[in-house]
Amino acid sequence: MESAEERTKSIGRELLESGRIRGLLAVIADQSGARPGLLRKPEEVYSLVFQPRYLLAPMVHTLQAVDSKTTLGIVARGCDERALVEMAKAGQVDLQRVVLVGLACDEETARQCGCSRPYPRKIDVGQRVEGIKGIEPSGEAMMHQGRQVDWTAELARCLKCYGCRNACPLCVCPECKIGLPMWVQTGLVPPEPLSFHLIRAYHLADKCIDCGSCQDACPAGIPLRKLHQYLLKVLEERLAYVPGLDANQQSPLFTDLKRAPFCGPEIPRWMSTLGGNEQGELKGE
Amino acid sequence: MNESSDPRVLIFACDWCPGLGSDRAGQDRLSLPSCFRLVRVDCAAQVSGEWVIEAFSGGIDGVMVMGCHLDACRHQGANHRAHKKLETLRWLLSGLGIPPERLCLSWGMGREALPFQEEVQKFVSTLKLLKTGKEA
Repeated sequence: MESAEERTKSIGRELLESGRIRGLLAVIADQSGARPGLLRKPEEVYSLVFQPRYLLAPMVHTLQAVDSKTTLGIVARGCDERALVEMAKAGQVDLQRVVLVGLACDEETARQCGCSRPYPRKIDVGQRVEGIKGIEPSGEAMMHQGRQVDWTAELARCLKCYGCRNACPLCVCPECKIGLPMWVQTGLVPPEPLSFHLIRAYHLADKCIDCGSCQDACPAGIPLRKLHQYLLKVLEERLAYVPGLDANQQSPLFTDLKRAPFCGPEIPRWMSTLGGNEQGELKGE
Repeated sequence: MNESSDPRVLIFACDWCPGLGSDRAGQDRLSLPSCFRLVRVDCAAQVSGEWVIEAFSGGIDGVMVMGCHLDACRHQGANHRAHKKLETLRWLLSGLGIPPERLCLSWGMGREALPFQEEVQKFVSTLKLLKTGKEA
């Protein structure tokens, strides 16, 4: 009975031998430890391992930028796939030239990551386990969970290392707004939490795929994921949108209100968050 | 913090409906609170989340973004998208513990003076309530 790792290795070997892919992105282990790497030859596949879990998706973008013609393979977990879908929406990755070897995370990895979808859409290797709900589904409980964290205290430990931004697969802007002195004061550490973290969370509102790279990268151990998870839940509830699932589904923040399940089929003439106007109240407010 | 008890309000008003409404309010000599500053923008959709965040960072108590009726934006329904973007920001603020009432989104001003006056007065009194609510 083949183990999951053996199965992945044989799929990888086959893809490389047939020439369908020029290289396979995976976590590999050698005498210096485990690291992400690109396997070029079929015989190199023996060094492929699963642990530690590492988001390989951003490397697809780097490699495709270098070589615009060849197809790449990637051992993709659920988070990798979601990251690739969102990166494709942002024009950073050409999904036609990526072959995914779908890896479903095992229960321990899923629990460690606290992931809500620890499996890709097409599973080639591994057994699907159900995800962990990071945040309570709705209403007051949801609002409360965002506020449960004492953000003032947590964000006061921020070193402004930009690790969260650098590690994030979706932080792709050539001119990052939080790198500009206009929005984030230079030389001020910890940064104004509103400026740095709020702007980042707001920019990623419809893009974050909850991979946890930001929190993993943070040297100060700030629970960044909670901030993003809260907003993702709100988006799912109010705008019925979950990023990373469908490469053809545009973010609702780019479409008009008729297409988002927001105020229903009738758009009120006057809509104000102050309320008190005829048809002024938003659904769910 | 503030010496006076009046909340500091920043209003982003699009050039079309609310901007002209504010002009009319001035022409008609309507009584308006003195604690706001108005910034005219070509379209309310120009208002980015960063502007609002920077305003709060800098000590502004409340921000209003005013635009035209939802089906009457001359920039191809940009106010729809502006509303969704800024509504997302309101939710984010609320998750961090900042009352979302501090960001007011108002779409529906015609070029009318009285609605402008009412909206601004309503917002200032909401902010005053927030303040006393906090201090109480």
